Amino acid sequence: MELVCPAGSLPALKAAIDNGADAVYIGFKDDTNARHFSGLNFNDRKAQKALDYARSQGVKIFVAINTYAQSNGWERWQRAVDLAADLSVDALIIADMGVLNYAAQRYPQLPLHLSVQGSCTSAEGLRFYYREFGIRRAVLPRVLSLDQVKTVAKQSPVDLEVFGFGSLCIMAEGRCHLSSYVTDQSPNNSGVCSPAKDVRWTQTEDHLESRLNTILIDRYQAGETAGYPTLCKGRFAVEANVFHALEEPVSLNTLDLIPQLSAAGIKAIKLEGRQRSPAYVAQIVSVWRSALDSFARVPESFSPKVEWIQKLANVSEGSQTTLGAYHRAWQ
Amino acid sequence: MIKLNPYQKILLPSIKGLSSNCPFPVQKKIVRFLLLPIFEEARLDGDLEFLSHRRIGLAISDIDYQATLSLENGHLTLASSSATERPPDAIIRGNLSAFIQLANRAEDPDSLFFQRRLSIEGDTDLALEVKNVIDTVDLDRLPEWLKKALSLSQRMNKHFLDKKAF
Amino acid sequence: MKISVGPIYYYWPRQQVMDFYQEIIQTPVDVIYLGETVCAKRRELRSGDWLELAEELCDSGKKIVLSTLTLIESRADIAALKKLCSQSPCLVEANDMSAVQILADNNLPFVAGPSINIYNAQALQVLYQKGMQRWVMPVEIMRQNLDGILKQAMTMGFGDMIETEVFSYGKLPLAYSARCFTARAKNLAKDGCQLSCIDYPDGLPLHSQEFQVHGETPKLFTINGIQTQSGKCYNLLDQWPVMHKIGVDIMRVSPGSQGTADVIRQLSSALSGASADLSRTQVNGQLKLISEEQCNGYWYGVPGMDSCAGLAGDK
Repeated sequence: MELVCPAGSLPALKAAIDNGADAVYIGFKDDTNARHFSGLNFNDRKAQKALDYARSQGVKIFVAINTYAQSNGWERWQRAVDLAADLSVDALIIADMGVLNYAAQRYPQLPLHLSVQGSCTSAEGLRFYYREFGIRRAVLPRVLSLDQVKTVAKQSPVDLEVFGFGSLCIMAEGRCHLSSYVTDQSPNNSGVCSPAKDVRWTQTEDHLESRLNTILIDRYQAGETAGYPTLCKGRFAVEANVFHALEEPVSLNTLDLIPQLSAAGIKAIKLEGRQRSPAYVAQIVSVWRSALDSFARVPESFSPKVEWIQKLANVSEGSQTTLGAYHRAWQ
Repeated sequence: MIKLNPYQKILLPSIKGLSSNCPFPVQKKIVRFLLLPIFEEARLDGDLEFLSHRRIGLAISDIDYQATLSLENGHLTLASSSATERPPDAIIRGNLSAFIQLANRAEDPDSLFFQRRLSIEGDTDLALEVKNVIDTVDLDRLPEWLKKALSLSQRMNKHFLDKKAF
Repeated sequence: MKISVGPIYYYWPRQQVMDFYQEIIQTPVDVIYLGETVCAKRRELRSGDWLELAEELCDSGKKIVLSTLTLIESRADIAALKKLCSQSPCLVEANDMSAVQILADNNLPFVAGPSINIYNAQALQVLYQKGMQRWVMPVEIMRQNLDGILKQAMTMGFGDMIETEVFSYGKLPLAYSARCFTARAKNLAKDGCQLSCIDYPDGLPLHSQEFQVHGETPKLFTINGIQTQSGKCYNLLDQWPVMHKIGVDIMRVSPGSQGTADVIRQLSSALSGASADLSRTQVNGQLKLISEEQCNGYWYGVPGMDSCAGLAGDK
């Protein structure tokens, strides 16, 4: 299985490649990608540098143009596709039907992947994107159980990529407007979830409080691990009980599932975290490289090493890891 | 009786003493000397412009030291943090150990944040931009002396500051 | 301008559903959407029942549309979807690309529901070419962008061929998950959820922690099984003249357990000129249901939960 790794900066990209990535996905410096954070991502010069380094090491570069083109800025998405095509990157990761259509018509040779933001969870849906735009691969949303992934894989007209590790989206990707309901920005309309401009951290006498546009997301006691102030991971009150009403701040980790995913015919594993530092990228990529290599050597006796799990837990949100929806009981 | 480790006995008070007794113009020179090569590429790329007219505070809690950084002629410099100045727009706070680990990329800032070893006050967006700009620095391209200084700080941290070592 | 009533997002007992539609067909509504769009496990009405109900309602003189499930997870979901698409006596609203593919494959016309991500005229054109007759705008799109999309569609030469529908009243469908939050709140596993969402005919309110401190604070969200809705009621009713101007054809009212028929009547009389003023205060004074907290932020390009007064020159 191909290991597809995140990079929000050139050092992160180098860290990914030096630690064993097969492919690295990056985004441009605007709202055409779903990690549109200040100071992150690549302008055309940096993208060229990234590509040069990747080529010299025999690693692929994918460009994520995975937000929905807003009607007042269509040209930005067009330009992003043009730029990526000029750089002759190895694939584009796209969510929007309009953008897919443009890329497929204009650059028929350029491999297209359907982004997880495309929210496609069935072989029928994939068939649509395959027939209309000739996509070669799709990234599955993190809402399917392992059995459901297997079923889709059996009937899919295209290669499949699944998430292996990273912050966990509990909602079907591309189908969540929680962020824009409370702020004005969402992954679909701006490429961000819980924009930093609306986040405030305040240390009170007893608690560390996180707020999103004045709405209290969580209160942490001293020593309690904190999480990103995303709405799906806050502690809220439902019928007078205060708890993580939607999800706990945990990370997805599927090291355990490598054999099953491989048997199901999954072609690539994606690691999440373009917004994270080079240090994070280096750590998670090296663990996953070791794990995939170890599986390739002796598939029958594969089992994740304690030190791998420890290393991943160390960089995880909430410092815990979970199988997420892959594990049926979670659903 | 509580046994003090070398960190608590010698190193931290020394650094604390040094930093608090150092006159501001000297501090400013040292900071400029250190930061110039680190952020030169970011400056040329225009990646520092977000800091113009804004001030970011770095507070190192265990040595009671706070630095305020801002732009001067496009360069990142130490700004006066006296009471007459307006307070920084955002403050990143942590222990010396956390900052050394950050500078060396030995730890990931988000992880330090989840573990409550770093905190952010004020304008989160500004702090995030600072974090992201630091992440874009290519450590391999720093001058040799700076690389050595960084790795020395990391060794010092590992042996004396990182309290997990005791 | 036509009025539609959207699919019922909540899980109501069978009789309540039947009574609801008996009441709705008496109102001046033009289009009725029905079907289970949230959770495949709900069983008060199975897909066969929805098909039957659709057929019955076809005689009412209203335009009937069958809506499909939003989050497709299993083969059983696909099988149900195929059955619905092939046996439907009426137009189908596709709420997932699986449905779009199945309908297009069978050369059947369709409506693209609000969970199909159409944010620009180019995407709209792709679906138009596959047989889409109408689209329901994703709820987070603001007025200016809708205006831009429709103008662009005109320039591209297909704007006149499709209808545009806007979610105009009710709790907003904001997110879908693999997890059931109602079951979670009841401390039940999803597989053993006991269909507990049937106890919440208007969903389960979720508040920020602060409601305990300051007494009543607005509801943040509404939990409805695997769906998360807004805490407030979205209300764009007073925007009908603006919608009319930019080319919206249908305003959608989303069902609540009470007062839906009244909202439709109110909107209808405003549309026919009987009472031009649908401003929030007046609606507030007249309808009990609407005493629920309201919002309209998305339409104005600000946080969805916010409330904006109509901008000058709107009308």
